[in-house]
Amino acid sequence: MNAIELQSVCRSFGDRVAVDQLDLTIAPGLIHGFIGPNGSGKTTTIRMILRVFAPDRGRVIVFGKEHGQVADDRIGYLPEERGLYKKMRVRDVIVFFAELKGSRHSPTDIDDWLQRFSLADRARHRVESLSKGMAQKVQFISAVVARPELLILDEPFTGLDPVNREVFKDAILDLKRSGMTVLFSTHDMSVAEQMCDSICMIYRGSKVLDGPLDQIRRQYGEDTIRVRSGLADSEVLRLDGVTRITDLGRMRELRIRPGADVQKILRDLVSSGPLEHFELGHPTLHDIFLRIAGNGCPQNGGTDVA
Amino acid sequence: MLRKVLVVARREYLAAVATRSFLIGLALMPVLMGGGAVLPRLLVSRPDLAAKKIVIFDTTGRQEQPAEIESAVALRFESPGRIIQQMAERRNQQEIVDANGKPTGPRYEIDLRLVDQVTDAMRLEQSDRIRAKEIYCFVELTPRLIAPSPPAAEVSSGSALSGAAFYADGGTLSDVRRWFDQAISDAVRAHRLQAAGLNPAVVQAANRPVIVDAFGLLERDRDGGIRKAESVDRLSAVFLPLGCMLAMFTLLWMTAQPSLESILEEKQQRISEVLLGSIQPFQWMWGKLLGSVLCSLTTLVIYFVAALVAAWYLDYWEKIPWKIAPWFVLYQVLGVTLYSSLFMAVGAAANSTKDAQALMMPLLIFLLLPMFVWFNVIRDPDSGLAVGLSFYPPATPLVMIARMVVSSSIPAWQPVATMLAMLLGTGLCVFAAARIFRIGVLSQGHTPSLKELGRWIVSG
Repeated sequence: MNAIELQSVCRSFGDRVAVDQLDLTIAPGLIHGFIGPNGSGKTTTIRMILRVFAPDRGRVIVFGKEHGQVADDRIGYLPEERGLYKKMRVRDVIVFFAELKGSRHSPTDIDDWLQRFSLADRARHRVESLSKGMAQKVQFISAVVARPELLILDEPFTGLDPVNREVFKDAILDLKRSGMTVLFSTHDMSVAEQMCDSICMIYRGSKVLDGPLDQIRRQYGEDTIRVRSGLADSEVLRLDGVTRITDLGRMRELRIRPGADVQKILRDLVSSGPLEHFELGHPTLHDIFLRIAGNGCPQNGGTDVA
Repeated sequence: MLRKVLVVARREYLAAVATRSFLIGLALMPVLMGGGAVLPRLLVSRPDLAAKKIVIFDTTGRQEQPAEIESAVALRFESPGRIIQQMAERRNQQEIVDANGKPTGPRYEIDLRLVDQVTDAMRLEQSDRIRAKEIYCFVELTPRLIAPSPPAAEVSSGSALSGAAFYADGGTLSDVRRWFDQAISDAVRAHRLQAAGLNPAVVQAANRPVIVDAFGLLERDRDGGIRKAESVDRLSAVFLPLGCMLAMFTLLWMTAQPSLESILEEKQQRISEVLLGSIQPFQWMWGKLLGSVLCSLTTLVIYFVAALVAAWYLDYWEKIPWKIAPWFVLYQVLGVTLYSSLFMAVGAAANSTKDAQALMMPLLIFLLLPMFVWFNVIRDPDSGLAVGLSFYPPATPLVMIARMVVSSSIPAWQPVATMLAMLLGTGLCVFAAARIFRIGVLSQGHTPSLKELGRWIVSG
């Protein structure tokens, strides 16, 4: 049984269409990326999955039930807009959210999570005394401590420093290993690319990409070359087969047309000057998204062959 | 369902009760509510003892008197000014000293001037002396004061003067002014009685008012005997029902106001979004309401114990209206639910404290209505107004408690019927508030108009 099934789901707010004809299937036990730019309809979709909103049309089936109640205890939710009771103590607030989810926790669970997130010595402190990063950890623990079967994370890494980002990533991967299904909403496609087993990309309320990450990459093939050389952009664009060049800073990303001779491009680059780095690979999710969205989405400074 | 409600209720209760602000509010609220009654008494116990110098211009004795009293007044009696001066001296010696000889009020030092007339120049001179703080006030007594009646033409034109004038700088409501009102009346009355050949002491004795002893109703006791009626004093008649009404008002508002702040905090701190992942809006709201009721009952117990101690200490034990105690608790529980749900709906609809204040304004008019007519309710607890207000849910707890304290003849169906009306009203309010709450907590950055609120209630 799938954890979530959305069938032709639509939801509008006044004249604005937030979600349009969305189909989505979330298989159990995996990490699913629900990606798209800000305002694309991710949070609205999540709220429909949580039964906070009902869809205008279509079916929302969670754990096989179409007409379940809001706040199913089997679902843990970390919303994008986070908040905790500032006057409550750390441990009390975690216990409160755990009890709301049916008290399926033990004091040991809470201690383990506090230990893991280096918060054990803060358990008796009030939330208002915590830093933003620490409060975010408390929020995360509150979402997972009741051991939900499905964990929905809406932009979980926002505002985290690199060290805490890694701590969160490890925790999410461990939860997946323990059998938990994770729906992971983000606009940061590089993070999704690193962690997710499958991806659903949504843009302006409509699904534009869906499937296992490997399959998506295969679908787009190895049409991307990352190079570091002294050649000017105009000279690179004159190489046969190169259709687009994007400056990534220390490197440049070349998109080549299907069937282009990669060996010839490599030879041309070597013969034109010193070549420090050459890597043939798949396009990034971000790049794929830009290709799908076309002119309707923000570009990242790439230059096409005239 | 119930488990989540209880979890929220426990959190709300602890968040409200286990705080310093709760204890401070608990101590301050009676001070605020009772301050209006206590403060003047405290001030009275520390009176202004500085002597008041008063100038009296008395023109009564030198003017032409009406023919019918001329002979008697002019020949047999002191002028009113002289009588007032004697009354002031008697007051200074006898009335402003307590049993220990300690002064309890200021001396009135009268500078009596028997003159033919008072000119504007004289009035200005005394006014300047008042401004210079040399004297406190000056008084004019004219022949009209002792005339049997003012001329008919003046009465009909509405310009009849009393014959006495009091000049002071902002002293219209002062004790001196009140003393003069009484003293001049007494002096003129004595003057008139003597002019009519009557002894003022005899007349005063004849006029002594009779104070009727007030009693409640007789009733049968449990053994079938007749229980004597209890005497009704001022305390029972006014202060006890008013006190119960204010206690109910305090309990309702002390609980309802934090409900608004709590929901506003959850919205502003984005806690509502987190909670919606764990609990349904209706469960959340009922949990908060239950927490409010428990908090209110805790406050009641604390105040009740304090009131019992005070009643025992002040020897008012017999005045405690034990029979309304269960009704008080029932009305309080329903009232807290009603008020808190309304306040929570406002909190859910608002995005800031300023928004909440704006939305509260129309609500306040409806909620404060019973406090505007408390005296009418106490004076006549069976009037149409009192009975009608009893069926207006926001007023029911306040009005019914006041009526029950004052009257023992309220028909038995009324408390039951008002309870049902309140249950219905509370149910509707909770329903409407929950609808607003459900949409309002997710509506960030936009304060709905009253029309939108209406649409949220209807459409959900």
